[in-house]
Amino acid sequence: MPLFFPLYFWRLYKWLLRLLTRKCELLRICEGTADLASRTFAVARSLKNSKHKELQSIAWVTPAGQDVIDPDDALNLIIKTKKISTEKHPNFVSSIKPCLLPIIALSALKGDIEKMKFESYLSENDEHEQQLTKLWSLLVPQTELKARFGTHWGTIGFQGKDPATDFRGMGMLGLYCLVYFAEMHSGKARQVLGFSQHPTKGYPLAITSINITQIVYSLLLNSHLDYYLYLKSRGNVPTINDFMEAHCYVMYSFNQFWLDSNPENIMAFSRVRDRYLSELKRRLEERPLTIELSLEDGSS
Amino acid sequence: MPNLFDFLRKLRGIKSREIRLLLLGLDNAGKTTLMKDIASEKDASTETTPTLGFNVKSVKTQGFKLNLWDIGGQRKIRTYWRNYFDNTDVLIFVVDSTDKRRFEEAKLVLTELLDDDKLSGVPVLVYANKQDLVHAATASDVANSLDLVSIENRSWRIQGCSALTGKGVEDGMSWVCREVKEKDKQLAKK
Repeated sequence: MPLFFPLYFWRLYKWLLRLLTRKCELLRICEGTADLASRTFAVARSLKNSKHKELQSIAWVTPAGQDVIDPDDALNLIIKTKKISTEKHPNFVSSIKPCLLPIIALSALKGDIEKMKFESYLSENDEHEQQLTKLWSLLVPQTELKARFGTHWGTIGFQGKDPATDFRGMGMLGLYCLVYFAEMHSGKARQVLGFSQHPTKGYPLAITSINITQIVYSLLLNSHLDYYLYLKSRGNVPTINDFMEAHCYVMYSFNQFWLDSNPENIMAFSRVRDRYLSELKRRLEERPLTIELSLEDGSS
Repeated sequence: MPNLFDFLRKLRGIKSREIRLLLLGLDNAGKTTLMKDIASEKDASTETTPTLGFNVKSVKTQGFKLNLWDIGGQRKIRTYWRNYFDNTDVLIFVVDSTDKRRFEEAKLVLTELLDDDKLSGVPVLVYANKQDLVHAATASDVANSLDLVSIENRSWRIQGCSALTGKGVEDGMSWVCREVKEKDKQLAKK
């Protein structure tokens, strides 16, 4: 499959295939791909690259607050726009139908996560403040949080006296990911915190987590997680927890990768991170996919 | 047409003069966003996260190749700043103009930098960043708070800017390029 063609070559290639097979790309996918996750992935990619805006919008990001299309309506829209004869191709509907729910749900999920990213941390917002204090009590339950401002935030890896500024690019999404990790995998989170506090090989946990949120976020938005999420959800809907789990997994495995790299000090961070990221991307492209982006298996 | 200019230089085998620029400042000053803006990256502001360690980027402009070193501003990382001082052509010090409570800390950090032997005589450009925000101190207020007039034995400049919108960034970079050209001329005379 020529995956990395520029779009116009891709369109030319599709047009030639269409001439040869007398079938549009979606029909070819639905008749030729038995495995549900692969089919869902291929259908989504075809929709994203469609020249019809309405079809594109099914598979791209659905901004939070915007109506989510009903799978049946999406099916009718596809049949109408692509002028597919369901009489000539009786299996098309049963083949594409189970793909549409996960595709639509993932587009909506991307929109929801994008919204959290754009929700800035505000000290005036009580709910935000509660999340922050909750994070403290989850990570260092033995020490009471004495003040909202102060250098004590450094012990869990914030940069300065006020954690609020560290959330910048990732907004509340960065904080939600941290809280989820500390709450749902408290054992592993405290274990990672312990390693991160090493005097020379350590790294600031909280801002590393925010960096990792950014990594997982851009993997999600650039569709690197699509196949994984379709595979995991098995025709069902990918959820926010899948994203949070992916963040936890990357936190945990990056910590291991960092220790194994035996870095001299924190200045090695971007080099180690880039190596980790290219390895992660390579594993996400493996077929069959073996990576499990989750810490959920009862072992936490 | 800077691209054509660069192309002609390449054609004639002229290597661009490399400039090493060091971007320093307190955490949350906006160094990474500023670097992304100079490198004309699209998503300049929206995805910047705290810098762990450092980032490097190269940009070609005005016949120069700018090597930008953006080093994290966190207190713990500041102890490593010195490892990056060698051969610096211009120091760029970034200040968050809205965080007036930290001007004093910024001043101390800058003074310490300027006192370092490895940076002696190196021109310094101070960006008074985040001018797009209403409660930002003006560039001259920032200059006063950091007591820039007392800087001796090097050229310096204060430049108000917004790394978010890009306003003022280019003016500062033009000054940087002029400084380097001037210095090269003086060296050639000797």
